[in-house]
Amino acid sequence: MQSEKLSHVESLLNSQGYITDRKIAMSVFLSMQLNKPLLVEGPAGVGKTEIAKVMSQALKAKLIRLQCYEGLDANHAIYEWNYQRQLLHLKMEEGGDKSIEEKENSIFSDRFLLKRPLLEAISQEGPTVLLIDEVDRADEAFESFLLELLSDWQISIPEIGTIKAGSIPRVVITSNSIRELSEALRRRCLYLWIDFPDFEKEIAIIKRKVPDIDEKLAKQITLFMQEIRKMKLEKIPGVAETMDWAMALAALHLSSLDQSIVEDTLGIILKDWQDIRNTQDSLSELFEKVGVSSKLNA
Amino acid sequence: MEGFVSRRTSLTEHIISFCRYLRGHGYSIGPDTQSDALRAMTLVRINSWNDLCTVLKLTLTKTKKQAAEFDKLFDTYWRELNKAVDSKVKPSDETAQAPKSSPGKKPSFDALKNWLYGNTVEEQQEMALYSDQVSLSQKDFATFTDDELWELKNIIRKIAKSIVNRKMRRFVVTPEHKNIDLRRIIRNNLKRGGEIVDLYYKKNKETDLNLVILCDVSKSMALYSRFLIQFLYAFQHVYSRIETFVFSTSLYHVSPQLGNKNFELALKGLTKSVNHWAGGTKIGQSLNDFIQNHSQHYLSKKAVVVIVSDGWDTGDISLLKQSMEDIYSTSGKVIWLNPLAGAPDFKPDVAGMKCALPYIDILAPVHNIESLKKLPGYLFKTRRKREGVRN
Repeated sequence: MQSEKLSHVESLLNSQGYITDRKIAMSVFLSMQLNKPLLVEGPAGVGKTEIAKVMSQALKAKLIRLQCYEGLDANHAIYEWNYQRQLLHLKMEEGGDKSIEEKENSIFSDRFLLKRPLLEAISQEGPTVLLIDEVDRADEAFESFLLELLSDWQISIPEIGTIKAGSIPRVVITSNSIRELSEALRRRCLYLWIDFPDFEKEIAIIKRKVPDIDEKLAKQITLFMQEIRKMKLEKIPGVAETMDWAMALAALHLSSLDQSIVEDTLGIILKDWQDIRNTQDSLSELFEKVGVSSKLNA
Repeated sequence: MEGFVSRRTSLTEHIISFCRYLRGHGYSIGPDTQSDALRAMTLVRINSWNDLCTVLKLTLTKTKKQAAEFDKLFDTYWRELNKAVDSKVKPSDETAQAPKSSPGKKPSFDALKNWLYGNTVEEQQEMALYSDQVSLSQKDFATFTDDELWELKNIIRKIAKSIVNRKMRRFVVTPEHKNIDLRRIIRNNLKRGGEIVDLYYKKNKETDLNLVILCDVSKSMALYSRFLIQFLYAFQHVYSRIETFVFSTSLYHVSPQLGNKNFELALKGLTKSVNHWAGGTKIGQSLNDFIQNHSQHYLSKKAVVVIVSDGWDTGDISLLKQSMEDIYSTSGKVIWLNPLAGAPDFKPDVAGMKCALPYIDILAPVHNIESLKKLPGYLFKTRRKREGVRN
């Protein structure tokens, strides 16, 4: 019965257009079953964030996303008071006969509370998927706060009191390993490393996302991407770039790659000037590996 | 059904002993993790070795490195187990791959890479002492093959970035130095009937750590300094408040050259402007030069001076002492990174090191990537109260 659920997760992921392998499906399944956050690491553009999105769609849960960045603080992650509104409210009540205490109670109430993602996630009634994106960008202090939240599922606001989670959200945490995450956070999570997809997986993704693409073109694009990732690049293109490229080429109604097309559209997959230059230099070599003749007029 | 239960029990035992095996390979597997693995086993119907491997991998690994090594360990363990049910597991020989030395690479680079990834102490010492034998002259920058250079650059850049990230988080700068602290204003003005009378401001923590790096590039340091240069290069690019100097017999300010966006061009610029790569060492004179000509620009109580040298000085020792004293008194902190300090039997008894010692806040090794990673910790630690300088 239990493994039916696993296949259920697999088919859910598939039905949401996410080409998965058993490892990813199993990690999603286990994280749900064991009620543990899923920590996903991997290079940029391999679909880490996508996991959470698909998970929320599959579970028909609300997706709440917290994008981490340097200097992320409580005001942006948890809650903030709507000061402007509080001020206006106080002004409006001027001359009234409310006591200070009453005023205080009224302006420090739910109405004036701006819920940021973490509080939002906690105060949801229904099922929720909380995506904490690029947690390595936030600082260590935030990480320890997160740990606390992940174990207690409650947030205390001095003016109101403690808010406890109605239903515990599913948590997906992604990291680009800019910074080493703490041992404690790792221990609390299931760990999944996603690498760039292999040929079969990538071509399946292309076909799924760009259904009207020419079969031969899809194959060539995939081969080309697989090869180009082996080069020494400043920024290795991810699946997102493959998609963009495939879509662009499909929109041009091409049925195969050739040198001039690749040269013209290299900017879609490579985002670094140096990379583009280096790739252009070794383009014919690349073509040889991919098995496309450069087809320059002899 | 009974068979299933008993089989599961033995599987449980196997998994527990597998966890033990992993711990022996540096995995920190706590009881909670272990019980996760066991629970996961009951949740997923295991159809193949692959499934078993995946389930255990997901539950037992916590880092990329662990995940990468896992498959091999898994294979080894279960294969050995199959060979002999006797639980004494010995790593088989065939899995231990002999380090292959690719013919295209210079042996010296392999040695350097060993050094970089943290090798045994004997090798470090050997290399440090016999650096003459691997004597790499200035043009050797160029003899790094692209492959090696690129690999190295990435490792180093990652470390540099982590330092900067950490730093910037600790001290956030905003264009405005004072922001209105609305929360406090509202709270505290309620007692005035909601009329805004008292204003409160908040201020970001300031970032004012200036780094001055003085790197010894003399012959005895040749092996280490070139890697440090790469580190400096990477660092200079992610952190702007850094000034870099190199010295052997005299001092050169190399921040402008390191600022070049292209590493090869930066190296060319460096080699052009620095005449004494891998020459003799006159630390005292070089530091004195720094004091005389640069300290007024770059030194303050907010500056951290990082000196990278092995302390072998062929110049005037008293001058070194004097210069160190000056640097110590005008800077916020002095960190001396010594590549030789990584050896367990290291004693700072080189004459140069000895006389500089009283004026150093932190003496630390810098002999591999690991030690480089500790650098941020040193940078942000505040200077301890001076306990009376020994003279």
